[in-house]
Amino acid sequence: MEDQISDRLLIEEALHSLPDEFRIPLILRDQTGMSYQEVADVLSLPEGTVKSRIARARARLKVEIFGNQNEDQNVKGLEHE
Amino acid sequence: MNNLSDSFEHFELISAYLDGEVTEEERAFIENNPLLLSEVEKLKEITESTSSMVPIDPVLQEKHINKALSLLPKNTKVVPLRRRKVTQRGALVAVAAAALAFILIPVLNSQDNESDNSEIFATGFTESSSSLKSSGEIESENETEPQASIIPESDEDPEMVAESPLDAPTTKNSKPQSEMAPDENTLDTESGVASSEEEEMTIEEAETEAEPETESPQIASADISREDIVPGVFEGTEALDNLLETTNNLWQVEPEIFTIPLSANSIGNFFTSNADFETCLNNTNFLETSQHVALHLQRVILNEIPSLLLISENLELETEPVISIYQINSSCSLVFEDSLLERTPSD
Repeated sequence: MEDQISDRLLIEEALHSLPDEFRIPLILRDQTGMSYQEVADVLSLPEGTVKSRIARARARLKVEIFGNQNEDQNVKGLEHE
Repeated sequence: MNNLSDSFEHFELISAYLDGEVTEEERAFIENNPLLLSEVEKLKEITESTSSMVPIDPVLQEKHINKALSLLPKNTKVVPLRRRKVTQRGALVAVAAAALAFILIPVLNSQDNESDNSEIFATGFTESSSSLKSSGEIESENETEPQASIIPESDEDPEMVAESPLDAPTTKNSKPQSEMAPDENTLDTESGVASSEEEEMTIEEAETEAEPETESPQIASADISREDIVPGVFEGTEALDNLLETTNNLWQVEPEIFTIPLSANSIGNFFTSNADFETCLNNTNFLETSQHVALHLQRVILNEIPSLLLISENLELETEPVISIYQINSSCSLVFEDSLLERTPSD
């Protein structure tokens, strides 16, 4: 039980630490079940951008949760491309 | 192979795969690659976690907070983490609502003025003179959707309450605005005309035409039951001081009154009931919606001049609400503006 709470808090914290541009598409996708196209319509973004932002959000969450330094650098590097 | 799993392109592909947003070709590519599949499993764990997160029910949250607070030893002071959370959450929507009001009111008025101008004024004066019901009350009656609001009680700390819907008028502690009999305060909300007998209405209209300035303030407030927030008439050399003092005292005693942004309906009803204040809508400084959100609007008489009391909050700066007083004339001049707590009336 404690582990579950701890995990949830960790994920919640990681989720809230994401910049809005990544967090919002991810939440729309994961918590409302919208398709990429629907998220793109809601946020007035190209579908490709939504796909990319959701992936980046997850990459960041993965780093936050699993602590993969290499991927952290990789993701950060890609953000500036 | 590390390159394969670390590549962001592949990560993006995995992410899309989990969402079922890949082509058959891409699906096959992932499913034929054990390393990518192991990444899929890791990512699936994260996705499941984020998907299962359900926002906390504010009512339940309030209940738990209250329960926790009740367990605290007596004389323990609870310091809120964020002072102005309630207001700020609602601020964005209020800005949108205010913007909508600005767009709609001139349009509606221009349409009405062409066809039935006199009726608007007659209606407005009727409301003003007889103090039938505040615009907020009318609004609350017209609203059909249930309001699941949590409005702080006056003796509670407003910072300790859960978030409230923006335009959630409450009917608690409802008091008549004037001392008239309740029957006279009845208003037919569908037509916007008093439902009292026509004869009485004609008399009232005649009276208001002869004496258009009424001493009953029209109020638009989120907490519309508090119609006696600030008295309507201030006279004498210290009129402004008295008005500011009254408002300031109220802010210090019951700050929650000024923390819930006005809805577009409230603002709209206010200006419909106070047609002579419409010049303020054209004043560029008035209710600059990009930065301010209106918390309270009220008609007051300041040394025999009809004036508009506006209490608003700056969205960008975490300051106390600002009190602005506009004199109703052709340009709606701003006669005073300052923070509620920092105001210097004598200046």
